[in-house]
Amino acid sequence: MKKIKINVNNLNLWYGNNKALNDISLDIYKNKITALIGPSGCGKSTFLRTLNRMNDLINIVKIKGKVLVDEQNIYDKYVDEVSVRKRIGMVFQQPNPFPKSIYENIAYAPLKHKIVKKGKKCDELVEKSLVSAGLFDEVKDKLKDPGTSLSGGQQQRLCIARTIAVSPDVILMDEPTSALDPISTEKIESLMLELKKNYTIVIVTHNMQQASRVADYTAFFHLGNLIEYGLTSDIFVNPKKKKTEDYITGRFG
Amino acid sequence: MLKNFKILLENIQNELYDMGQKVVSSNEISLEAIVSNDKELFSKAKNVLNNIGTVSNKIDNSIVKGLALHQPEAKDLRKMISYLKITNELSRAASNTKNYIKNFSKFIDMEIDSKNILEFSIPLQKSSISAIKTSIDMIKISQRDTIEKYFDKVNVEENKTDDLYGMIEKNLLKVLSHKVELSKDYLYVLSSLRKLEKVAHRASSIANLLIFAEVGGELSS
Repeated sequence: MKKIKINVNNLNLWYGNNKALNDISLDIYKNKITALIGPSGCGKSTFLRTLNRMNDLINIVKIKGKVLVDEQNIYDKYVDEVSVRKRIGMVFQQPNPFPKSIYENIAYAPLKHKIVKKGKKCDELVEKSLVSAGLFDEVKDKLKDPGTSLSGGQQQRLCIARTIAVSPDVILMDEPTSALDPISTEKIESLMLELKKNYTIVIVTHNMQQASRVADYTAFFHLGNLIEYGLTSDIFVNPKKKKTEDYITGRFG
Repeated sequence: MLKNFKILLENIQNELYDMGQKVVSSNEISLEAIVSNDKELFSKAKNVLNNIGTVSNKIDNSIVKGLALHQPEAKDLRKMISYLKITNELSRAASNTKNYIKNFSKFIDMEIDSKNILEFSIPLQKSSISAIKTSIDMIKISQRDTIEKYFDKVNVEENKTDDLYGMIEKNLLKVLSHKVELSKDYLYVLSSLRKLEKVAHRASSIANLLIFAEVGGELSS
């Protein structure tokens, strides 16, 4: 049975006077991959960032509505945004490893959050995270090398390993493969299919083939509105709305 | 290839194979019915094909989903297209088999020269079964050499059905000239045996499609 991980309820967002999200309501299911698609400026990345309060970092942003993660509203006054971001990790478009070693990239946050102490436990966590991200075999002999010495695809998997290291419940991915070649892209997509066994994944992508290949659910956004949301197979085979069909068949956007 | 597409393709392949096995099994049971002169087996043979349309629709919908979600290319694309066309061939082979069973089961009660007919109809049915069975086995083969060997075998069996049917037709027309009063029965038998030839023809189409899937080239009928 599918279980709701995130319930978004009448979410509205403004950048100053400009409304960027308009009454968005949807359920994101546990251990599923949900893709957010739509043309540039439709609000999909803005929506993604509302799921771990990344928009709080922008002064002019005003948010109204609820985002319930495991039935708890992450916008409640008493909720600490840092703890939210620990539970809901994020991977960005450009791989952004810290200017540190591969080992330190993974160990940094778990040590900071006091999840582990330096030593054997930390070594085990680094190894486990790299294994989960499908990177361990490629870097096991060079853990002290800088993270930036890796290829773009490897750096992105390092960032995923870094996210996994703090044991989040949800992983948000903002166009995680747009800067990568097709082989690295396939590795990340395969990794996502593995990771969903343990995590709930929400991905923003401009690549509709990517959404159709990996996502269980797809949400189509346009001009800040959620036009259609459902099973990916329904969205790509039998979309209910003409606008969705026009977009996925390349007639606009 | 992403794991989820690989699983989908394997599932489609398995479902297609199972669908084909139903057609093979139905034909084998109906042959047994004729050899053992057991009318009960005809209904058993017919029952094997129950819901074959539903099975075909299920596979077709999975293929549509696979095409829409994974945009396969090269061999993967050829496989999906071939499988989509094979479900149609199998549905028609199932329909030919049902018609054969329905019509030929009445032959047992007819007052016609059964020995003369069975002498060639049994080899005809055996060749037809061999053709469809071999074509279905091809679905699970991935070595090109083996596929080509099986393809040749299907074509040989299909040619045999053509020849055997021709011989039956010739023999029956000879008999008919002496027993005009039974012409309706003889033509009825002939028409039902034609369905077996059609099953073999479907097998040949399936083999062609599987060669297209494996080797490439252009689709041809």
